[in-house]
Amino acid sequence: MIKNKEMFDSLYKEIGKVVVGQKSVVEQILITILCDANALLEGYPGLAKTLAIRTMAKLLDLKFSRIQNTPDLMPSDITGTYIIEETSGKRNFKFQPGPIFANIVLADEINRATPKTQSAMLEAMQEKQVTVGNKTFQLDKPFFVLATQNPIEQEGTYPLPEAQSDRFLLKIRVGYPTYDEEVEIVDKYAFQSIEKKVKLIFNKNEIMHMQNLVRQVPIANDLKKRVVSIVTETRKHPNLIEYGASPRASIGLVLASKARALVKGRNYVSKEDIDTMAYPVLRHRIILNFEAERKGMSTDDAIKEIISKVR
Amino acid sequence: MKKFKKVLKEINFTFNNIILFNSFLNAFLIFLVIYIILSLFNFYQTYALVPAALYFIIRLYKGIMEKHLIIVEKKYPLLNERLRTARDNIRMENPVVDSLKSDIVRDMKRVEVASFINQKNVSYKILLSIILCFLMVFSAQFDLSFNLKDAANTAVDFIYSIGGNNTGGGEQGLERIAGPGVSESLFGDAQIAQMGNENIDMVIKQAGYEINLDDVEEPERRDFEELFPDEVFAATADVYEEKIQEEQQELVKAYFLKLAEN
Repeated sequence: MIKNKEMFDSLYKEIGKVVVGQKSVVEQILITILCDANALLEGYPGLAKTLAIRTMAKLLDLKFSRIQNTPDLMPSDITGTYIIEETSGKRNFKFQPGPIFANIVLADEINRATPKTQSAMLEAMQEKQVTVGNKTFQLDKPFFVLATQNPIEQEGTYPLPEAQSDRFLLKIRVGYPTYDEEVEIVDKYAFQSIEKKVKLIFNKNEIMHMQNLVRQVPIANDLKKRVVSIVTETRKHPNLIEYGASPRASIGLVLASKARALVKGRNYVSKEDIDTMAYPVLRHRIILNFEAERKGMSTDDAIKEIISKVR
Repeated sequence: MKKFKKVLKEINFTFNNIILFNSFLNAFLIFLVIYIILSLFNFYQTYALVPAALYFIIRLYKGIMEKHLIIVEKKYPLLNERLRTARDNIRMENPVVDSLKSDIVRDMKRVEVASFINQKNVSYKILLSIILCFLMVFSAQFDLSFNLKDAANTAVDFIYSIGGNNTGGGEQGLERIAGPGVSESLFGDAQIAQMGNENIDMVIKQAGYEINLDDVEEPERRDFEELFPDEVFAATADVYEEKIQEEQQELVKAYFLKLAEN
């Protein structure tokens, strides 16, 4: 456990060379990777979402690809397509893999793509495979999709349906840096244009070993019940929440809490892990009702209220 | 992991012992206090065992049912959540759980049993029980007791004595001291007292048991005839006369003698 903690600390240190602040964002991305899941990053433009993911891919020795979603993006642009290849006078169809064939896929502004394209990507996320024509291609392991969303400029966007957003383990909210952090960002990037070099911390096998360890982290029965209570409580507040979270949220919250415990160097899940991870796990899984929105409540406020009610 | 199981057993054993000791001490104190109270008021002292035994059983049951691991975790934040987690996953065996269990076994060495006993509290209880024991011995030696009946009589006498000083107040004084309920039996009807010199024709029937010695006469002398029978004899009833043959009579006699000897 101590060795793992040291490795995670050095990962933070390395990523800190490139990304200033955003420690909780980096931590949550790492948790997503350790859970072998996908995450949705929401934040205003220019908050180093893409930079953080790209740097993470470098640190973890993972193949990185980026898809800039636009309304005219086709599913085949993501999954790949068959092209005609001429070899020794013969014409053959050859599969040309799309950007989805990577370890970390950054789907920028996923809500700009059409539902057809979105569903192609979400299928790959869920099944870890791509079907083109009548042939199925397995995706390389580990495979993560980190999608970003812009909370502004909703015109011309296709918001993810609830059933599809449920497939993302976490919805990571990327906030603005503090004043001091912003000064540091200016110092770092306004005067130099040299790309920072980071050293490799984990390789693929180590990541997969860590993913195995996450599932082995024990959790106390009362904390397990707490997780279920929090999730079921989201369905018991019609005055606040229109639609509560599904049992998938319970699984996700336990898993995310386990991963957080491992990242923090602990060999057990604590109450703090659950309470902290409840926000990113539930944020995109609950829909506030009109009354709550009228009061100006955010989903995080509703989650906070629910957590305070569960003992 | 055997070591961890041993740790859990030890925690339970230690806590059960502490609970047993505390329950017994408290029950003993309850017994002593009630015993002294009962003996002071001349009641049957053995009844003191009932509340003490009840308390002991309830406290012991509650104590044993209590979650001991949470108590340890509260006392030692270092073990917070870890003990429970390891206990709940005792059957799970993997590198993470094993490392948790071995960490707990290591950290449990810092846990002191004394930290779960409130020494000050226990000392006071023991001291109190000693004092109560001495009190019991002294009360027995000097036969200290309060008879509730006597005390009640004394109290009534005292009230009467106060009432005696105030009877000069006339009717109101009587009313105040004896009260309306008892005036009829003790002082008679107040209305009669108001009659003054009026004559009442009344006949008091004799219903007493007093004997007027003047009415007692000498016992009457009577002569009895002396007629005694010439011969007095007894005969056994027929039922006892069993027709046993003469040669068997000795045998029966020997049988009953033997029975009598046994």
